Amino acid sequence: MRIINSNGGAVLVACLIAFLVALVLAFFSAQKVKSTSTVEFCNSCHEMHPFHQTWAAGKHGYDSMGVIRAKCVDCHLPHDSLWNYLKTKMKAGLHDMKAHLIGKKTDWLALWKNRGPYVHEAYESGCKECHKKLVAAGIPTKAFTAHRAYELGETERTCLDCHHEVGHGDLVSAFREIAQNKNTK
Amino acid sequence: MKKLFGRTGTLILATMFLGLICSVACAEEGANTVTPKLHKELVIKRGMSPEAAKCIECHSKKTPGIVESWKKGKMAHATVTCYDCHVVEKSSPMASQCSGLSGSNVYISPMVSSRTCSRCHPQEVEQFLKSGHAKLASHPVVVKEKTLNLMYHLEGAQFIGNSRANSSNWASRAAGCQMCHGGQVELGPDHKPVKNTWPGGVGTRYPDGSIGTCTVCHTRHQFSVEEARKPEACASCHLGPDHPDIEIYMESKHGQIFATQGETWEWDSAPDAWQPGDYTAPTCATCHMSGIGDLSTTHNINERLKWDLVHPKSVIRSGERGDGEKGAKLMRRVCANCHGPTQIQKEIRTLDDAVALYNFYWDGAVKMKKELKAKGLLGKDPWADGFQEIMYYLWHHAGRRARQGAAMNGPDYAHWHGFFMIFQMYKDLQQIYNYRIKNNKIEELSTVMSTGPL
Repeated sequence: MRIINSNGGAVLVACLIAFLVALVLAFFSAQKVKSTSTVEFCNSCHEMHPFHQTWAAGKHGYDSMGVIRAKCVDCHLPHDSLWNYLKTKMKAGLHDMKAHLIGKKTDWLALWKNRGPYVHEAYESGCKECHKKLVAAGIPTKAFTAHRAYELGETERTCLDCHHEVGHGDLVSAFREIAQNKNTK
Repeated sequence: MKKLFGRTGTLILATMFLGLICSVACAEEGANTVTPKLHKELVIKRGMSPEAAKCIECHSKKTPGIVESWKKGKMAHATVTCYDCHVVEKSSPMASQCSGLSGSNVYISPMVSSRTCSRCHPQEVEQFLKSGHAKLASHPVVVKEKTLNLMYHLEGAQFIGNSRANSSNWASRAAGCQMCHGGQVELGPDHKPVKNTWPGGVGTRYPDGSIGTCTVCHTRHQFSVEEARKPEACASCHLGPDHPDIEIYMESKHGQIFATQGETWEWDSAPDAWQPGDYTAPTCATCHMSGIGDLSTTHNINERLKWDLVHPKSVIRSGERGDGEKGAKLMRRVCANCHGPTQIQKEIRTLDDAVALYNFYWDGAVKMKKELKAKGLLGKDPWADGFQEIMYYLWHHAGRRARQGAAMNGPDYAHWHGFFMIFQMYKDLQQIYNYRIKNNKIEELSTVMSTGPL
């Protein structure tokens, strides 16, 4: 009996310690998920500077009061489920970290040339987090017409097929200017 | 008081005089610039951004014809403006600026493809892109070796020394082929089209990779559904000796009713709701595209077709040209809105038989040609060889007339312009064949001297 008791106490203590460790880890993870979701964090790597600049000047950047309309992760991570969100965040995060560490260079203009300017790496579920009602009262007639087929599920096209410039404006032009500036320097 | 009034009066008079001088001066200045006579100032603010309103205000003076046409259409009612369709990103290969935009960050293109239309009409464009009116239409003008040779080497007179570098070499392509089929738009350094490659027809391929011109049938800038429902919309390309579809239609009972009663028809019902009753006979669009009975509108003009009546040998459509078996069933459902099963069956049987008859002739011609080729009795230049020239007209002109005349109820085209000519052409082919086999040589002069038997 005594033996069981002493063992039971040890198990209890072990469980308590494990719980506390798990709690700390969970807290730590949550904190990291949050801190790596800021615009500043994404922009802390130099590779992201042009994307940050074009975003800041674009429709989802800062408004006149300095308020952010949509952060990087609002569009570039899926918002259909928490699991998918975390999984994609981990995958994309590791990919970007590796690319940064090995100094991978991407010729974006060449990439877009082959794939067409309207290829995007954003998720429609992100758009829908904020833009819930596409055919709302007071919507202009032309927008009503444009969104009708989408709302009825009669087209395969996504938000981004038409609104591809909302995130970063005319990204191709911006990168051309950057390339030109480099050449003139 | 009197003095004060006197002073004010003088001031008013002086101002009026100055105003008069100014207006005369302005009028004189205006007379030197080219301003279209139809000068209306449109100021529209309702439902549009200041940029969009600016386009309209400026173009109502500069190109009033465009704005006058636009304002009567449904686009204008839906507040879809110049800006919505013509503005492109700066990085677009077609981006340029008109004088009103220079200095601003707004870029436009005069070239508007189906991709732009698809932003509001996605299903229509998806269907259209699957049809023979899209990529397949411009294939002969952009890709196909045989027709490229025809456009530049033969029609462009390269064969008698007119270099490909001369702009007159492209004249036939720019004035002819491209205007119905569409071609590849080529751009200069200012992002404006060069070599007369724009505007073009239905299958035009644009520099941004998009394909198709919706304004071929729904002409700009009214984009009218009524217009596209009328046979005249199709007639701008589907006419002439090689596919006289409008002539066949006008000869048919459908065309007869259209010609005599069409003015009283209701042309503007909503898509899918335009049904028998609105009209008393079908137009091209009714059978090939419109929503009728339980069928929905389609912009895939291949969808309701069984046979390929275009190429040398007629086969049931498959692959990128459609699904003929399905098409036959769909067309029956179209017919059933106005006809009983006995007549539908007769019409379908008549077409099947006409196709079989034509194919019988064609197979015979192919057999003769093979034999001549094997014996080295076929001229190297098909356009200076009687046998090959007649064989071309057999399928491309008379053969299509016979088949399409049978399909759309044009007896004169099925018979006089069709099979009546086919049998004679075939006899000519036989004569040439027999002569060459018997004498083991090709005639010294081509037996076909002109553009051949029409």
